[in-house]
Amino acid sequence: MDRISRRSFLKQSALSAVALGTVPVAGRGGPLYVLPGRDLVFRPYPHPQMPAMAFAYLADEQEDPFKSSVRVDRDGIVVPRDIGSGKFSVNARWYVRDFGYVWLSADNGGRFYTSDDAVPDKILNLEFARSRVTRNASVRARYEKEGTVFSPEVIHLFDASEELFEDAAKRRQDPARCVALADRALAHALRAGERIELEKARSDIARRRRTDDVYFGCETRQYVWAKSEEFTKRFVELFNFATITHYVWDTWYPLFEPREGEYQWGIKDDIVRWLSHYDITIQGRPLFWFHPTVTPEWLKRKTFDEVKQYVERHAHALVSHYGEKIRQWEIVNEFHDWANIHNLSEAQITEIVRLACTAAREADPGVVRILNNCCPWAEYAARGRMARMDATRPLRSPRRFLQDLADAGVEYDVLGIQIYFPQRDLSDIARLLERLAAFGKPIYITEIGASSKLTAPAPSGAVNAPQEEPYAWHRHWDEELQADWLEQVYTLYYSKPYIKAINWYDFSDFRPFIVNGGLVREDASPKQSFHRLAALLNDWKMLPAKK
Amino acid sequence: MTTGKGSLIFRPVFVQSGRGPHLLDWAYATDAAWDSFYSDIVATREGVTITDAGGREKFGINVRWNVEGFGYIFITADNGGEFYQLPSTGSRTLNLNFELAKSRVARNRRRLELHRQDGWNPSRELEGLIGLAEGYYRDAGGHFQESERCGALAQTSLLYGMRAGEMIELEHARHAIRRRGARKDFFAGCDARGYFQMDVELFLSRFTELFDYATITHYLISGVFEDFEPEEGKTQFDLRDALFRQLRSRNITVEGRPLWWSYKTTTPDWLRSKTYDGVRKYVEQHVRKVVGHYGEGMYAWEVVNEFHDWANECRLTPDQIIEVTRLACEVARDTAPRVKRLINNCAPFAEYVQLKKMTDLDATHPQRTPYQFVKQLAEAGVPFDITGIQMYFPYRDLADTIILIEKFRDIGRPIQLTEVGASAGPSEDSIKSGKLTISQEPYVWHRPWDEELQADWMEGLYTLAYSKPYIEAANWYDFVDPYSWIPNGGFLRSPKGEKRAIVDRFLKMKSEWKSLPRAAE
Repeated sequence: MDRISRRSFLKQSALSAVALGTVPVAGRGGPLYVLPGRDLVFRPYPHPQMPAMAFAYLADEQEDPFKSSVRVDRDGIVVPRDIGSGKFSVNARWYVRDFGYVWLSADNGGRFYTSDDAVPDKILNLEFARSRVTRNASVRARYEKEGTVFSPEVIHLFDASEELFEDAAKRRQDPARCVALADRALAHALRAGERIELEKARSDIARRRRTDDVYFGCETRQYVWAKSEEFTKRFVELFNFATITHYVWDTWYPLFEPREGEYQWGIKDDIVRWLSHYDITIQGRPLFWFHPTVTPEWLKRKTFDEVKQYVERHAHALVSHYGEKIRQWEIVNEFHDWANIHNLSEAQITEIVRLACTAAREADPGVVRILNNCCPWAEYAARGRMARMDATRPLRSPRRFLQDLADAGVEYDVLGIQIYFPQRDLSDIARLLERLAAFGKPIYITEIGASSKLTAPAPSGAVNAPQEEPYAWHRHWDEELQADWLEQVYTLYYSKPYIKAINWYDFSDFRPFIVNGGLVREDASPKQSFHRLAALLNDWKMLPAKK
Repeated sequence: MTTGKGSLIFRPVFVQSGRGPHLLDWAYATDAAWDSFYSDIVATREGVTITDAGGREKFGINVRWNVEGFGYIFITADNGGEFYQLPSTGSRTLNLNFELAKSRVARNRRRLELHRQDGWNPSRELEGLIGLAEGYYRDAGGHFQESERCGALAQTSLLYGMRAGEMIELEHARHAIRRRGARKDFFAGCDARGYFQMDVELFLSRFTELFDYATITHYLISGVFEDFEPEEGKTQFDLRDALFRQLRSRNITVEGRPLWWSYKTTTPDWLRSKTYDGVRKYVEQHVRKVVGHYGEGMYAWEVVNEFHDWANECRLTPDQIIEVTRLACEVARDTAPRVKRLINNCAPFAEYVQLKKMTDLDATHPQRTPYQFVKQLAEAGVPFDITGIQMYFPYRDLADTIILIEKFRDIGRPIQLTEVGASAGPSEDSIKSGKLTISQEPYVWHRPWDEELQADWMEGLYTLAYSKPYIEAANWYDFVDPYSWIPNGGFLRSPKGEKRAIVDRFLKMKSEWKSLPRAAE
């Protein structure tokens, strides 16, 4: 796709649309101009600070993205007429003033678009607003039916977004006015959407006090680098669950399997002893993660049959080694067409997953088998990219992958999903959970994280986000905002009885996955997020007993 | 100091979720005219207590309070416009959150009523916000006996009241601008010392794209750019002459500044050591020489700067200050009669009165607010033409900001917002240099400063200014970082000329004004 500058895009697209807006209108609210056979164009009127839009994608009615010939050019997002007969939504990252630079979906108010749409020339801002306003109405009605009583703030935001959208929709002939109204409608709708989810979650938590086992966990790999005992003391203040990572090969951590079949258990066993002392439930992870960055050459070179043999041996070796100390295992990680160094086919992936699940169960009949998935909105499928590789076939979303496994009768116990700050709002996260809950499995939120500051240099040398980019969510990340996001997503997850585990990934800021994504700083001093999580767990009576 | 009365205690209810601080450890009192005065008010986590109101019967209190979702900002509680009085004996305890909400809700009502008289009506969004503030305020009142509950509800009311308050002013201002049309009599300016701080051609190109008004600064010494008079009588005009010519040739209206500013970093020792008579002699010579140098080419001269009991290195008495100001204005008038004379004032909310400080110096007499100072000048017949108010982000919301500016209308002179500025927030360079690091305090206004927020604040303030016919100029200070007085407060990120978001916003705003029909003369 052509990459064009924001300035020229703004000038070219906005001006051309304004010019076209003078074409006679065929009735109030009707098509601006009907040109049979034209491509479908979504004209963006971006905020001046928004970086150039270089990518947009289409998703189907299941919200699964697919690779297509949609393009971004000087007119906007162009969906070619010959895209096919299916219904689709249009998705792009979009800066909404007073909300953030987030991915948004225009889905025609839930009805989706088709290539023969009667109005081929659309204002993207208005379509985004339409979709959010409509979604909020449907979600709010559903939640109210389930007993949630919303605050005056929600009602105010909701009403304001609806009214502004209605006004905007009546002014399509006047793009400048229409866009100004639609942008405000969208900002209100996004805020309303998040508050709807939070108030619903808080209401459900209050009404249905959970008495089941819920795991609140964190990853422990930074134990290797812990600079003081403070790290270990702080960790056990919060968590009743922890993951121990077994990457075969790594550049940051001691190698686990430097040569095939030769395992370095030392530090892992130390972590197991530490966690066991505090009665913290342990999950091993992953048995298999075929990501280019953690796959050694000897494993990369294997044929499919050799991989299968390796999988059986490896699964058995790891699960058996720990025995009763680790009864939960992440069987595969990111195998849904993301981490696929051997470029296996869909059927081959299904076969490996089945084999690994079976082998783990054979090694420990009581093992809990977790399938971990990343990139939950699967933008990669539309890009045609796997991790560091171009795809050679259409890619699946995690949802499609799980559906394929279900169709193939692959047995596993827990559906795992990574939801790092996804550049999406809470309403999108809630919809994702609903789609995944449809599989009827317990869900672990396997990995979560958000930064506490992106503009400050991290002592460990992590790279910062460009300062000029608009903030992603509410404002630029700071320690309070990280704590806000944590509180909000934990509240959302905890309110769903089918979510059984919530795991923050980076405990410390030292060598984190997310820059400054720790709950404690490098010196193990707690951040606001640490305190906020402690307060939440205390409210829910989920803090671990002190030992 | 005692009044023999009881004490009034405003008890905060800390409902905030962040780490704080949520209440600043000092506060100040204001009188019924919203002028600060010295009192024995103290602020601790337990409450804001006042037992001596300096002889004022009625007063309000001003606290910096963290309204999460709006900002950690100074807010006035004035008993809903009725003001507080000390109890005759004993102590009386009020709920701080409730008093702040009450005052803001009541003021919003008054402002709505006032602005409706101009034919303006609030939007539905604004009505919704007002409704939320009013509704939560009523709820808070219904739980008055439960301080925690009352405090939480009042805080929500205050949040929406603050948002509504700004929106009332901005919606009304936009209405007034549309109704009145494009103004010919408004300057959108900036200080021009960027000329000394970056490539001259690049400076002129960037500057003239944006501004139609410029101030040329004449600090005797500054330490950061060309000193004007490092030794008494040895004035250095050359570079400023060049700048003046360049600006005038581009049709930019120019103001010189300042003729007198006895600030700690700009006052040479040879001036600081002068007696009152010595000051008068110097002022007379200096004003005549400098004003005479440019003649009638200047639009205006800033005659004195921050002289209202703030910048007073020569430690003059209040009466002496009036007389020196009179002398400077008279000499300037005699030298170039058509050049306007401007009195510039800083710290417009005059918190310094409570702190008893003149910059780093301890005050030696009861201090005046800027408003009281210019009023005294006017009443003393000092011949000045323009009231100048510096309005760097004042740790107040936009509603407080414009309401304070409105006070100066009755001085009877046009108002210039002589120096305005807000930061674009920390950058990698400013963090590394330590000039501006990441704040550990709650954000002060809407969110931590960033380039967009800097542009938001600028747009808000300039919109308010443009909507008021009695405000004739708003001048940003400074143009380029890292030299900006407000760290990262420039329009440009560096002398290389990279434009911040504020540049586009400023141009768009001006273009919208320009597209309006011309206002009637």
